[in-house]
Amino acid sequence: MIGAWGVNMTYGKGALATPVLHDVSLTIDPGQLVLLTGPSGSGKTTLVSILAGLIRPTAGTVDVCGRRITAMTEGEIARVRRAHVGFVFQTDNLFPALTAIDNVAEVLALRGMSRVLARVRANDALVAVGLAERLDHRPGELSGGQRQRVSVARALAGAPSLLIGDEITSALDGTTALQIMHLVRTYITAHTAALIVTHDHRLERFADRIIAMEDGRIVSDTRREWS
Amino acid sequence: MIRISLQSLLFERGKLFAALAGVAFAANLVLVQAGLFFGFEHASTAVITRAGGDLWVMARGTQLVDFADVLSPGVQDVVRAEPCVERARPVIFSWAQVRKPSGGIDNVQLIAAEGAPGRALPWSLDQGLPDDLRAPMRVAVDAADLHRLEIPDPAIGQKVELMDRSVYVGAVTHGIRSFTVVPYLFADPREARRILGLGDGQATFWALDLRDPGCAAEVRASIEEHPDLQVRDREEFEAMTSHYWVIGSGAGATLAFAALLGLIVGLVVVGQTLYSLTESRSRELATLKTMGASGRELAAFVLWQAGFLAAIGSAVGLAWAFGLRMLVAKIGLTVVLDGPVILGGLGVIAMMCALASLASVRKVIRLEAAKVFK
Repeated sequence: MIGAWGVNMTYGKGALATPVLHDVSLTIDPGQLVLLTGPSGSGKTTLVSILAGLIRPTAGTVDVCGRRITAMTEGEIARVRRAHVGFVFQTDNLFPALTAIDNVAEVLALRGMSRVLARVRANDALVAVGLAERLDHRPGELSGGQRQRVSVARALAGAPSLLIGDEITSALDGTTALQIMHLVRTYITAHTAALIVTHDHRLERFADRIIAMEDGRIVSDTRREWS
Repeated sequence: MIRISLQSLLFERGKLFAALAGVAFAANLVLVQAGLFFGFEHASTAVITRAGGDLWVMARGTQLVDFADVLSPGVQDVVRAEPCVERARPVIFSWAQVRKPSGGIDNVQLIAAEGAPGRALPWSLDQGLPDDLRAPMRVAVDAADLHRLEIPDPAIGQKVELMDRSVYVGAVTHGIRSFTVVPYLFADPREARRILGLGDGQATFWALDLRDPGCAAEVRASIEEHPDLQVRDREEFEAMTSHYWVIGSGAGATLAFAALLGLIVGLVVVGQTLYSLTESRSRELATLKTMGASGRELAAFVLWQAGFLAAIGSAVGLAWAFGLRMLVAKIGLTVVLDGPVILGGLGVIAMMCALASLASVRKVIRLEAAKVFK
């Protein structure tokens, strides 16, 4: 699902050069929910941005869903993301003017889906995250947890192979955080995977692997066996 | 993207109304200024256009219809001697004074002409008929000038002291005003000569209808052999007159400057609004970019908003301009709002909105998708 080999990243040049990733390699297979942890400044966000194709590494190669994105143009990478990757962020980043169902459906429409089908799929996704009663509410009329559920629905409605999340529970209370992670966990099948950046140890119970980073390096990669 | 774009715009009502007001203001100013420009142009040349003719004969050195020497009676023989001239019609266009009942004196322009076939002079009559001016001592006056000339309403039959002679209102026109807003009084040529003290056959211009327009150059050259005469095509004379008033007087530049000011105000307000909306939604737009939205799709967010503002703002501005046109008509000003003026004005507004959107389009295209991870 994801493969990264010898990834290095340095911001700036010359005397101002700041290396943030050092020879990072990892693979994530379908069926895995992987947590990426580490202290602030350890390189988690840079690594996930590279794996999502949002920034290019200084060196190294990255494959996403069987495609070598480090050899692609920006447009080609965008098409890979559009077709195969869903995103959930720390903040919901929903359009305040749109209702919950429109926030989900419009992203599906951007993927080329007909408006009618997009609304059907958006409806299903919101029902799946427990928001059947909030379809026509705007983000301002929803709680933080409900907004994050909408953003999970937005990410999953397009049936992506890979879900990338960044601190998706950090702004939520304990119960809501666990509910959100439960939604993510149930999405993982033999054909899908998730990579979640987090500081939240409560989430470890949902993970198949926990990769820890420090100073731009992977310092541990713990696989969890499900009984 | 159209739904995201327009709903985001409609959601921010304060910004929406500010931007719409800016576009409407700019559209109104552009349309009204352009309408006034063409209204002035029309006002300055309306009599020439209406009097018609292929060629106009006038005293040498004449630059415009409003200031011309009276031609000698012999000129009619000169022009009628041309074999290609089918009809030579006298046009009298002269300054005159009206003594008002209160004792004051006001300048007017006395106009008399034999209209071209099918083109009565004066036109646009509110009361009376052109033939009513054939009766002795009759003039036509515009409804907008009645108050200024202290002519009681109803005006028909009222006495006017014109050049120390008593004449009577035989007809009332509507909306025939000069560029300078000096009242036009229309009379029959024989009556105009009597009032102005001109002899038979005298006129300020001769409008010539040619048997064959192809012989215009020949006729012109032949008449211009006379050292005191010059000949102009009617369109050329219209252009000379309108250029003198609209361009030479600085009125055109003043109108253009006002329109430019409106455009600048509209440009700034719309540009500011679009940029502010883009800025406030940059995180959501970056999220769409992360999810694979292309630069073109993100640019559509701004462009749909710009298009919406242009369409609705222009419609409001157009309605406003029509309202103003009715208002200024009461003081005798003509604002021409015909198809070409409206299309041209709205085209300028569309370009203004497109220009105003450039900074925002540039911003969304260059959005850093990775910012959503920060």
